[in-house]
Amino acid sequence: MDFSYSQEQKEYRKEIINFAKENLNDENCLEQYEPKMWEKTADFGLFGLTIGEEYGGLGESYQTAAYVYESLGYACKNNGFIFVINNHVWVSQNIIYLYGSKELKDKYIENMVAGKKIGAIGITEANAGSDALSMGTTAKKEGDHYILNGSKMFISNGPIADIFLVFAVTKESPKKITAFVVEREFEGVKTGTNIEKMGLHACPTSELFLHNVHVPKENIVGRVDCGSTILMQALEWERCYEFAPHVGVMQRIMEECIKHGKTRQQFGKPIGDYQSISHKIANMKTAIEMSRLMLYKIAWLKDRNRTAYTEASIFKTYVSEKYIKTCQDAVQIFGAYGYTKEYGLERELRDALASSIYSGTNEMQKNTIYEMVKMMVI
Amino acid sequence: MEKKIERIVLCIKPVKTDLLFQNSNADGEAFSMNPYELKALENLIKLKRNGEERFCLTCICMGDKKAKSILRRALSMGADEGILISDSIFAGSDTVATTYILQKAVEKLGNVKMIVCGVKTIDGETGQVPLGLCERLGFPFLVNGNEILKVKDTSVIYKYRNEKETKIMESKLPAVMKYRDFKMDLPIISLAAIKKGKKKEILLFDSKNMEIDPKRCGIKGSKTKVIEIKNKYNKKEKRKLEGNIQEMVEIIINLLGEGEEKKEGDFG
Repeated sequence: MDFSYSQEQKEYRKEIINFAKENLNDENCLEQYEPKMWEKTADFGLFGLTIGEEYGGLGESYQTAAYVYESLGYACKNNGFIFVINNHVWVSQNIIYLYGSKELKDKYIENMVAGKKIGAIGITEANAGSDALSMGTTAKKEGDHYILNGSKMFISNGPIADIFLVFAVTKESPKKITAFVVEREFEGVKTGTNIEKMGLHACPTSELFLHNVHVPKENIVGRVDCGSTILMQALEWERCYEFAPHVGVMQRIMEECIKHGKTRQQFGKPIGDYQSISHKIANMKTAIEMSRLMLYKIAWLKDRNRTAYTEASIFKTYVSEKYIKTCQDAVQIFGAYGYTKEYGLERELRDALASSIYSGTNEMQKNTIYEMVKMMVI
Repeated sequence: MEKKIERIVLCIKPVKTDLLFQNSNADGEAFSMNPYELKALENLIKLKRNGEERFCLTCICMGDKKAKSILRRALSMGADEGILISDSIFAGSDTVATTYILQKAVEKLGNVKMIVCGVKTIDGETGQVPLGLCERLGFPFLVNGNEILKVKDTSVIYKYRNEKETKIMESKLPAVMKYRDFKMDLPIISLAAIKKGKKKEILLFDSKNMEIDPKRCGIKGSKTKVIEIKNKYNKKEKRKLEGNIQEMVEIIINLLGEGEEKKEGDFG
């Protein structure tokens, strides 16, 4: 495995850092969605990084994407906005691109790459969270269409999305689900008001209501009744690439702690010289390196078209735990300053806390990891 | 038969990044574009993008392989061609030898209607290269170009600026322009532009393919020799002040007091 970066990857990193620092860190927008930021990011070409050139993308490898998204997290302080990007790119656009028909790709991908259409995914329901397959949203075939009814909960990007990748039950016994591309413009589609959350405020979240929504059968992603496979794939991608920026965020926070440790003096010397501080920073560095290794391994698997289901669960769980710990330790290192709004670390911590919940709770990931490894030992 | 598109050649000098920026990023490139050429590059790309101007923008860089990243950036920004002039026998070339090498490069390229050089480089600061090129190529010399406004078939319209005045001039081509406006900050390039730039080839011009006389380049062909280049910035001690205003005022008073003491000691 080659850990060196190509010249092109280095250039991408340099530019995404410059771009994010200049365009995505407006202090007034760190806790709200700003459409201009979306437009600038689209013009910058981030959304189409791994999409083929025929749809306006760059056709880059997943290894490059891992590096670029890690760099995005490093340079962009607006974790909520990164979450908007991730939901659009990895669990909506990417799923249609990889598993959709040519017709479906031709219909949506170019506009999604250009940022003209924003994507979201609809899996969770009020009574179907970790047990996603117990969902109640239905899709009944009627001629060339499917009629969708039900509601989805906690839809990240919900209030701003144009395109929803919705999972609905198409067969009751045995229960089968199917993935559909649903446009906001379809009659019967509505989204609720923004759900106020603890963090990630720049990512609008809402319910999605589907009332007798006619969806053409061409809008099925993959095959009818095979939606659970698509769902698993979507979650796998989500667990890999939605967590890649967190590695960069940890790096940025660690660097802030190092600077503070060098300049803040107590009892006549920099606080970084005390082991209680330096060991916290050493732990941060260790976590970053371990996360990075796992991320690059997953990217390597993805570039070879191989599954990374277990790896994605391990990565998601490890990164989220370390991300939260890094933020908590940073607040502690900065002391009372860390607890203030002015320093921004309390926001980082609020944003980080969600990572142990979204993309499947860490408790569910550990169940998955155990289920997978126990099969390896007879 | 359609007329072959003529070239505008921009000579870009790679300069050490730490000469440009006091706190240059350790991750960053070791070399950057000379700020005058960066501004000229943006000016020419803008003309091309605006539509009517039809010319091939050729960027040439003289240096070792590290200079390639400068050309790659220029291509990503929108230049059409990148030429790396590199050969071990070119090392140590002064302005006399450099202009000879550049002359040979321009002749090899052919079809050149204008050459643009920055007014000076921020390391050597001689400002002799554009003048030397005019002399060698027999082109007219356009001094103090501050902005190129239009490139016509046989002339260029540009903003002339000196210490006293600014005026719009039109001059016949071919010519060499000494460009005096500058830009320090690197523009952000989109990921798509980087990818596009990567697809453009960077050609290598060396002593063989340019048919260079080895006696006229490098240290042998130079009249002057650079002994040392120093960074003009001196690192100063930094200290972050903490506490309330009263505490910080006291710290500043104490610091000023220390300064006074040192001053007195110096004159001791």
